[in-house]
Amino acid sequence: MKIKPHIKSIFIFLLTFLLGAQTTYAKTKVILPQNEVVILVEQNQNAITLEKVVQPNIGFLKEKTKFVVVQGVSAQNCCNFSEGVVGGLANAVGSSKFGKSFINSLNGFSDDIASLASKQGLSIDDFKLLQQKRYDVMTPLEQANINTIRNSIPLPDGNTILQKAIPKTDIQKYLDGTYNQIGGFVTTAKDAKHLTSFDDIYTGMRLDYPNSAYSLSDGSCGVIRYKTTTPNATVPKLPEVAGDAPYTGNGFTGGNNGKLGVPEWKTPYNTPTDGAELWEVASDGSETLRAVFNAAQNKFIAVP
Amino acid sequence: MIIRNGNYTELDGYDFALSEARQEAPIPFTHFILKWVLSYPCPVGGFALNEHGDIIRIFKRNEINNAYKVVTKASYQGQEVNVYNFFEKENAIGVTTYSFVEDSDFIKSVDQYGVDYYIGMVGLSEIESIWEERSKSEYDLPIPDGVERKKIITPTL
Repeated sequence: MKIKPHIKSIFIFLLTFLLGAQTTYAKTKVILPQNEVVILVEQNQNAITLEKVVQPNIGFLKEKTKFVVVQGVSAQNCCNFSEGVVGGLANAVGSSKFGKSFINSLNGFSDDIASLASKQGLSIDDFKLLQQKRYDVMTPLEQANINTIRNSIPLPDGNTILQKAIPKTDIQKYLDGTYNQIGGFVTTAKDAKHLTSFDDIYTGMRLDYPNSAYSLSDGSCGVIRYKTTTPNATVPKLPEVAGDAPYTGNGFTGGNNGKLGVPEWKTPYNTPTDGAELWEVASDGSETLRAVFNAAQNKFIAVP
Repeated sequence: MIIRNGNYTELDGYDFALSEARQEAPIPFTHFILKWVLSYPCPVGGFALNEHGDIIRIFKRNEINNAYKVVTKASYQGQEVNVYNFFEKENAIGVTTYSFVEDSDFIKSVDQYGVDYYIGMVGLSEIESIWEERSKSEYDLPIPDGVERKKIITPTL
């Protein structure tokens, strides 16, 4: 779309418009036609409540940093939109929804673990050792500590962006329609944001399991970021969910080589909602959008 | 003493821990992993030590023709508890129970379903009995012949 170069102007216009319009409109509504964003603002609407209306309607961001600083708007007229909303406006004109920059803007496990571990009297290094330990050989205190930390992570719902790593060899199977469902061992995208490259994902998510289809020599893997209406996620734990090392059965992947693991979930194979994205993540950390899920066609459509 | 929980299979007269080989595709699982869990060398061919320290062998799903599930339990203060590990250094077992045990230093915790339960470590001398309960596994495979449904384990001191 050609609108992208003009988005800063549109955004400044919108900010000015909505502040000036606060006493004019009686109902808040977000309209998203093909290539523009219109926000009608209710009387006495402030930025915070407006944000609550805008946020769920316009998706997610890419290149949010372009819009964080709004030049030319006086302090008096400036709305302090969160990065998510600003990014969402960017996305509304045609960017991807679940790119790295957006995921990085979310608060995730790597942001919280120091505090969570501290409450159990653990340092991050203590936790990294604990996460590698198999649940059925932990002492009672270790089990209680890791349970407390794991239980503090909220259950995914229909609004949660989940993330599924797939071997490079399976990318084509999603592109050609052989596969269109996602499940098994997954994480939330925000909780895996610290694993930025294929090598990070491989070691952090412990993809070196027996009979693994992953190989570091592939140079990349697939990552599907998606939502699904009913994730039906459960925490895979021993002994209910069995598995061999490096599976820990403690609710976290046993991140290797000093990498923080991730809280893992297990779900049935679900159909993603429209707009799920299949990215290819390389060893150098670069990622390329390869396909987007089209719910009407019930398949991933390759990005040209 | 080895505490067993999970699925097992019998191959050439020996017991092996049984699990599905993980895969990432939306298709039925294709392979089993058999793991040798005893301390002496695996007497069945084809098993090898992997990078994670396990002695395993991978089989196609249709190559495994029996399976059974094991849950290990113990009696402590007249109460039935689940046993999850033997701590050799402490000569104690790790146990869990959903019922409060009086006069114990069990730690209260919450399981992955949000239900309160208790975890503790109990010396073998305080345990009245330990046994395995064997039943049909989640796989559509018969229990091997000769497997006792309940077997008392004699603690090895």
